Amino acid sequence: MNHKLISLITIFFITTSAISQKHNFNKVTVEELAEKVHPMDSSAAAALLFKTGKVSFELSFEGTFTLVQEVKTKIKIYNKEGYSFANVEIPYYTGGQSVRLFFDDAATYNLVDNKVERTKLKSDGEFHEKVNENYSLKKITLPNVKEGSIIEFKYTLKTPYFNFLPDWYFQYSIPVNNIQYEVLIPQYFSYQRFLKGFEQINASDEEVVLSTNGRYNNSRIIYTGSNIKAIKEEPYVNNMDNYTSMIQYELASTNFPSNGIVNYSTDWESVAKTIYESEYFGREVAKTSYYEADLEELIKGKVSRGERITAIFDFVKTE
Amino acid sequence: MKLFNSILCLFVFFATYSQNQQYNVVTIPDNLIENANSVVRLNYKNIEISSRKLMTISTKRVVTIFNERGLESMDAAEYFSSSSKIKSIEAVILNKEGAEIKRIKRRYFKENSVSEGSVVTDNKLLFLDYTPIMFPFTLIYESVVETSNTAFIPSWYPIENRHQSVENSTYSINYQSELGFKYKEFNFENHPNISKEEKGNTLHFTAKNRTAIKNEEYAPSYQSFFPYVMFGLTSFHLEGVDGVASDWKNFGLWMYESLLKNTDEIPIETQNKVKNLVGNEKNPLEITKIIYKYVQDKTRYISIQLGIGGWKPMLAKDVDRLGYGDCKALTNFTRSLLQIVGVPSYYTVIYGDSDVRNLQEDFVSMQGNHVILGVPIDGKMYWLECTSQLNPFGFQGDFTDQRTALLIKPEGGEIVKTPESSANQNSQLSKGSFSIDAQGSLSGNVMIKSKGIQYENKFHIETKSQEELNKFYKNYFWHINNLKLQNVKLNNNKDAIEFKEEIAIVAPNFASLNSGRLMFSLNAFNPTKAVPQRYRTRMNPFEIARGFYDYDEIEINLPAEFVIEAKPEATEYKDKFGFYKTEYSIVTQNKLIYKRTYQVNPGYFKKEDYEDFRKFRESVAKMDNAKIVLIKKT
Repeated sequence: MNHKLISLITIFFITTSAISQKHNFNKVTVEELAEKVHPMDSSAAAALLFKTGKVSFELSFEGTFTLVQEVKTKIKIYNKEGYSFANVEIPYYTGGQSVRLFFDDAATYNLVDNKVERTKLKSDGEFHEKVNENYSLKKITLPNVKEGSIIEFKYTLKTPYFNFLPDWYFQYSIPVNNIQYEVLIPQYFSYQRFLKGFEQINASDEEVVLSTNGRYNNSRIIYTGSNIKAIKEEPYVNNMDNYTSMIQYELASTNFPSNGIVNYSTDWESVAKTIYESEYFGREVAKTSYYEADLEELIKGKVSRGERITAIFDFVKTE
Repeated sequence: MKLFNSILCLFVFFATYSQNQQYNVVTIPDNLIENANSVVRLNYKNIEISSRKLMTISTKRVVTIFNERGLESMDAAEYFSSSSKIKSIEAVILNKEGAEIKRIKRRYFKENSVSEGSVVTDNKLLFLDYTPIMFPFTLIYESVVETSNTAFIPSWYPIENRHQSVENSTYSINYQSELGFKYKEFNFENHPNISKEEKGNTLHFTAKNRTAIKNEEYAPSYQSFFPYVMFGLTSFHLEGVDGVASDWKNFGLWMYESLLKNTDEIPIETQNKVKNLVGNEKNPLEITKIIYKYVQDKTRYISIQLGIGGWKPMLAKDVDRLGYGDCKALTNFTRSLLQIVGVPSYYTVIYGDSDVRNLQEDFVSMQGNHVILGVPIDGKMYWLECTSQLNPFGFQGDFTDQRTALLIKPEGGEIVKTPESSANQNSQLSKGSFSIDAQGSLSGNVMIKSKGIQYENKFHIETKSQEELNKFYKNYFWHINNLKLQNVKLNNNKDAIEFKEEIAIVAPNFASLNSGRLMFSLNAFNPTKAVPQRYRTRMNPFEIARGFYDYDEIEINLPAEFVIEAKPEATEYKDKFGFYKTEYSIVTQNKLIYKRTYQVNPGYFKKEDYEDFRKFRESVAKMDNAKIVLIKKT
């Protein structure tokens, strides 16, 4: 039997069980609260003890898919510089469509007389802001945050935009103890995956599981990482995202029984085709009426390609 | 038919052309182009106060913009909220000949919520997001805004910015006399020929042909140099509440009654908790320290701007429950706790800004952008910054020092001034030693004690990681190449408000070794960095907002194989800008002691004095860099 597979399964088993034992959501221990500094990074103002994300698709009665992302976070705050992690802000793209994002189970835990005290977030600590027509924000400000507090929250995003899955970061400006990301993709979709960064992220083998309604199959991959060190801005780094451990999913093609295979970004040709078919680009580019008269005037008498290009280029410069 | 159309087009084109020809860029006088990134061709504001609860602000603004840096002068945006409505807004873009190239209607303005830095807000902004296709271009912008808030009447700023010239800025205001209209001009003495016309209930200001004012180092703050006019009403309205601003006493009383009263309830458990914390302590100063620490440990700062919540603090019991709040909420919470333990304190409105900005004492109105707490103990006022979890007790730093503030007492308002910090209080004392070996390498240690503003500039490094400390000290010892930090010990004494650093460093090849001679700067630990820039003709007066005082005493051990060939002479300079003195005493053949005193005085100075000031700083920098030359014994 394949040796590697066994060890992978074992590792996987150990990691998941480690997560469930050591840092469980909704199970804040006295030891966790009593911890004064991060064991691996004494300069950390806060740490992500535990973060899990799960992406799946919901099929509506009308037969359209909605992308659902569920995220649970558990953060330890070591000192006052870490207080900013208790103001949580999740921006999301709406683009005129109905997109929902909601928080659940948000609470702050403190050690009071050696006992765990839980302060729930009430609705007065939750805010919605419509930034502009395309973006909205949900914010929460967790109550009763002190040095040593642990905060927990969960949020769910439901969006019709499944061309890109939300980017999932494994690495942050604070250390991460355990992180997990589970992706369930219905058989009709195929995505390109880009795993970036330099931290050790383990991906499970792709597994086929039946959807909850039993009508189609999902492919499932679980990514896990642990003890991921903090990533900090440094001078002369153009974009930290190029170095941060994260995974991105981009829709490559769909294959619905009704439509057959439709390519979105399997190769550059189909990328270009998709862009040209987009109403925000292709349709705009296709409009010619506003320059037709100018153009006719410009290229009058000019026959060679070069002459025409020069004339048009000069015209654009003067406009 | 087609022909007819193009004739019509042509006609329309000419009509607009002639209409806006006055905004052809060539018509701008040369003196207004000099040093200008933009020219305000016309800025016309008309304010109509129809009642206590209704003010209409009409704006017409024509700005020619020469380059990218001038884009901030577009200022084509309006705020709106549940109490302020934008009735109309439109913009037209002209090319440099003054011909229309684009017309932007309201629906093409962009909308944004205004939450920079604040967690909660209901203010929104409608703004023109225009990407210029060429420079120069001219923007014509018109808007009408209607608001029920008459607490804030837009001030008139004839010159809005540096590097901006003004052809014509006009402000016109019409009011109901029973509301008690008032206004006050500032800094007009620096800017003559501003015309004013007062007729019945109408007041009119005009400024014309103002050349652009350059930005220069040490230029004074906007509020202390540029002309502006403030306007106000004695009877005003703010977010559903009527207010009175006849004098500070009454205005303070109004603030107390309508914004602070009944916000100070503290739940009984917390009452007991703080009473327990205080225990048997009787000294009000110690009690206040205990409460301040309690607040610092319990709360965190977030910004909230919601309706009257922009001015009214959130309830103390909510801060108690949630553990956060903005400056108003946290100050009021601290005030409420102190009340329970029997120490009176006052909610105090102020401008929080490292550029000193005063509340205009002789203009009673809603002013300020920040709130702190004043605690009078034994005839002395202690100022508490309740938004900071780190500040020592009673430490203000440069954010709220030396400026006027409004105390809100239950019996009324009172204008007070927060303490000045003299040069001596912003001190840094360095004591240490270093040795140079025969190869020119330096090894040394120094203890630095900082107070006042110098404390404020430093105490935040207390919590930094080793890597960040390395960066900090590489910058502090900017003139030492190959610096290696060997040891750093930091001590933040919050009681004495003193920051102590004990630092050990080595630096190979600090002294340059050349033909048997070693050469290096004696002031290895604290040389000044920059000399103020020279200006052929200085245009602005200048301002040193805060002084400081440095004293260094450093023992220098020279390598035994060398003797001194040349050393700098002792120096002393003294003038109104400060004081500088160095001494070099030879203790033994290989040991000398370097003493340096450097004081910079605060002050507001005439532009004619600038060159002397620059020379003073230049001499200091020169002497700080003075080198000693050692020669190998033969």
